[in-house]
Parts: sequence; structure tokens; C-alpha cells
Amino acid sequence: MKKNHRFFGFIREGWLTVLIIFLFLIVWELGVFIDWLSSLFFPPPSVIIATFNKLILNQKLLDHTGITLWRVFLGLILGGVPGLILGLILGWSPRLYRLINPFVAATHPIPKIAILPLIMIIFGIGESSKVFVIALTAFFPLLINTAAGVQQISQIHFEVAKNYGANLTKIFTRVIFPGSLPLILTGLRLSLNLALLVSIAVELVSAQKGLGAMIWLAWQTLRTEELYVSLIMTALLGILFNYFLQRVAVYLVPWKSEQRI
Amino acid sequence: MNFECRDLGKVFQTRNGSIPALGDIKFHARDKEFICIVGPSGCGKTTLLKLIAGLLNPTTGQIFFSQDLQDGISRSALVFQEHGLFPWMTVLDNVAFGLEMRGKGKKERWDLARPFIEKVGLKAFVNNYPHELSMGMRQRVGIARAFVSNSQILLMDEPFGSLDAQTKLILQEELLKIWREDQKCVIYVTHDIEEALFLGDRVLVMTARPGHIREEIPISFNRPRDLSTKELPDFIKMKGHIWKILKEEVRKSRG
Repeated sequence: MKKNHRFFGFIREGWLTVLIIFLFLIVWELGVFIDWLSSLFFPPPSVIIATFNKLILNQKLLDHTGITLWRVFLGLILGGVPGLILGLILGWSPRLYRLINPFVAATHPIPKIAILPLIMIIFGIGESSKVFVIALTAFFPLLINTAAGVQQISQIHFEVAKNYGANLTKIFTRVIFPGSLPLILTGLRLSLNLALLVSIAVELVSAQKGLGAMIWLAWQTLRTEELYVSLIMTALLGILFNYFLQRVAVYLVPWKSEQRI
Repeated sequence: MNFECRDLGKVFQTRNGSIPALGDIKFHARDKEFICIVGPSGCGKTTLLKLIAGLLNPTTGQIFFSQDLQDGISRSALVFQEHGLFPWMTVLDNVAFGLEMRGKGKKERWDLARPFIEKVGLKAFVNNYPHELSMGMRQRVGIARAFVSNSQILLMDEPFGSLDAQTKLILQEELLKIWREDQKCVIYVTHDIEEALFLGDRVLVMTARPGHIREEIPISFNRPRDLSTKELPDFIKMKGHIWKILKEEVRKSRG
């Protein structure tokens, strides 16, 4: 019984996962070593790690990552903030919601990457068209989730606030914003992940720099190990974003102990 | 503060036509009086409270208050059955909410709120969130918030409706104790006849929808009241009497 308990504790601490990954890497490494796997398609982990190290030391990886991060950040600010504000307003006013929602419903499903060519015709092939598409991507999830977040606030909370004499500012800061915060964070997570996805996609087709461009260049020159390195870096960014947002959620929404975003 | 409802009526407009919820409510609430309102479900009790609170406007009639609004203090404070607390605020912030809306600074409103939190026995929970409290504790927070706000009229909408019998009894006694220390005019809506007789100075019995007041019953049991009050012959007689009225009303509403 006791042993059993300890075994489950072992899993909980995540060591088992680490062990499995480690075994997987060893099998991979050995597989290449005995020519069971092609080193062109599957360069051994040791080579990938060495390349990773090299690309960090010569700044190349960090430069590309920095540019992608900057695009994600700009897109999130330029698209996410208006999405958040409009979401709060639409959630609060049923009339405005009925007025605007058809436009949102019509434009939201368009894959943003598909309109990149159109945007490039309008804004040119420079940085602004890339950021515009990323911003557009970040705009919708925050808008939709924020509006839904406001709409699910119980009517009673508005009545209590009104009963105690809350003015419009107080209703926004003490009821509407905190009440919708759990769903705002869900929207933020979706916006951030989609912004990263679309940044990479935009860079794949039309950029000289950034992780997407690095992936594309590595493919064109058949430097598979660099391809893996940039893919790992992209995955790391995604993991980092989600980890960061989870920490933020625990801090910002302590009243939803079951909060999982 | 006292107030008077004159010929108060409320009609709700819905997609399926108009629904009269209240008709011709007439009563006068005296200063520091504890009034209980009982009535068959759906008779418009909650609507009446919302009219007094100013959350709804009456279709007909008017409410006259003896005092004008002063200094941002709302005339009345509502205590809801459940979900009345803000889940995103701690107990302290919930209780201090009315003061915050009046523009009081953090320290001042917290200092004013703390004694009331102690009074309802939640000193150890000031920094907890409502979801960490039991139903009974949450209702205590709601009561503390209403008393802190310093409104002269307390409007309570079945505040103990979802509590178990023991918790309910304890909270009723606590409410009476706090009310005796800080007497306000209380309008207490309930479907529990015994509760109405136990708490009130007067019980208003409402008819089925559209509700109006069918009978006013003055209650004169000595205060402080306790469990033995519920065994007095008069108590049992009044309970039977109100039961009979309500039964008739429920039958009527079923047509």
C-alpha cells in the first residue's frame, strides 16, 4: 500500500515524464548511431543540442527569436487591447452587441493568414502588413471572450452595485472588469497562442528574419538540425507563454481556485 | 427614517403581453420597525423590494420617504438570498463596498467595516473569498455589508431561505441582536411564516399575483425573542391563521 502511494507521488512530481523523454532521446541517438534512422531527417539529439548552443553563442537564434517576440507583442498590443475594450463595451451593452455582433461573426472565421496578400497590397510588403495581420488575429479571441465574460456576470451583481450607489466608472472597475477577468484571461491565452502561430506563418511566407524565416531558410538549405532548433525554440515560446499566463491567472483571479486557463 | 407606499403597482411588459406583478400596495413603514412580508410564491414580493430600493420604477403609485437623500448614502441596502456577494472581492472588501461607493478611502472604510465583521463572527475570515465560506457565513457577510453602509432602510429578500434549520435559527437570533443595537427600518421578505412571526413587529400578508396586501398583523411578543417565543399559544394561533390565508391565496392563484 505504502509503496503504491509513493509510486503515484513519483508520477505527480513529473519525474516519470522526464525519464520517458530521456529514454526517447537515448533511443533516437542510438538509432542514428547504428544507421537505423537517417541523420539527414533525424539529426541526433547531440547534434541538435550542439547546433542550439552554437546558434545561441553567435546570437543568430536570439536575434530571430527576438524579432518574432516583438511582432507577437506588437500584434497583441495593437489588436488585443482594442479587442479587450470593445469586448467590455459590447458585453455591457446588449444593444451595441446586437448591432456589432453580425460583423464580428462574419469576419471572425476568415483565416487571417489568408488575407495577408490583400493586406500586403494595401500596406506594402514591409513590417506593417505583417503586424497588421498578427494584430487582427489577436483582436478576435479577446473581443469574443471578453464580451462573453461580461455577459455571464450575474444580474444580481449589477443590482447590488446600483443599490449601493455605484456610478458607471465603479461599475466598470469593480463589477464588469473583475467579473469578466477569468474569461478575459482565456481570451488572452487564445490571442497569444494564435498570434505566435500567425507570426510564424507570416514569417514563413514573407520575412527575412524571425523564427518562421529561420525555419524556412533551414528547409531551403536542408540544414535539418537548424530546422529542429528553430522548431524547439518556437515550442519553448509557446510553453513559456502558457506557463506565464497560468501564473498570472493564479495571481489575478484568486477567487476562482478552480481557474484553469 | 419612515416611508409610505401609496397605491404602488407594477406591470411588466414582456413579449407575450403585459404581466401585472403588483397591484395597489399600501402600507406605512415606521422608523426602526421590523416588517415581515409573507405571500404565496410569485406574488411580487421581490418586485416590491426592488421598487423600494429604487432598482425598478413603479408603473403606478409612489413611495414617499421621510428624508431626502443625503451625502451619497443610499436610502436602502438590499440583502439577497444568495449570490449577493461579489466573488472577486474578499470579505473585507465586500463588507466595505457601500462605503467605497461613497468615496471613502481604503483605510477609513476598512476600519469601519472590521467591527461589523467581528460582530457577525467572521473576524478570522476578513481576507477570505466568498467561495471559501459556507452559505451561512456568506449571509452573515451580506448582513454586515448592509449594516455598514449606514442606510436607514434594510431590504432583505429571503436572506436565510437556502440555509438549514439550525443555521437559520442562529442567524435569525444574530440578526435581531444586531438590529437591536443599530435599529433600522427592516423590510424582510420570506415564505416562512414562523420566521416572519419570530422576527417582525408586523407581518404583511400578500395575496396571489398581482399581489396586494391582504392583511396586516401586528406582532407584540416581547423582545429579545428566543426559541420559547415559538411555543407561545398566540404564536401558534397566528401561525395557523396566516397559513389559512396563504392556502386560500395559493388555491386562488391556481384558479
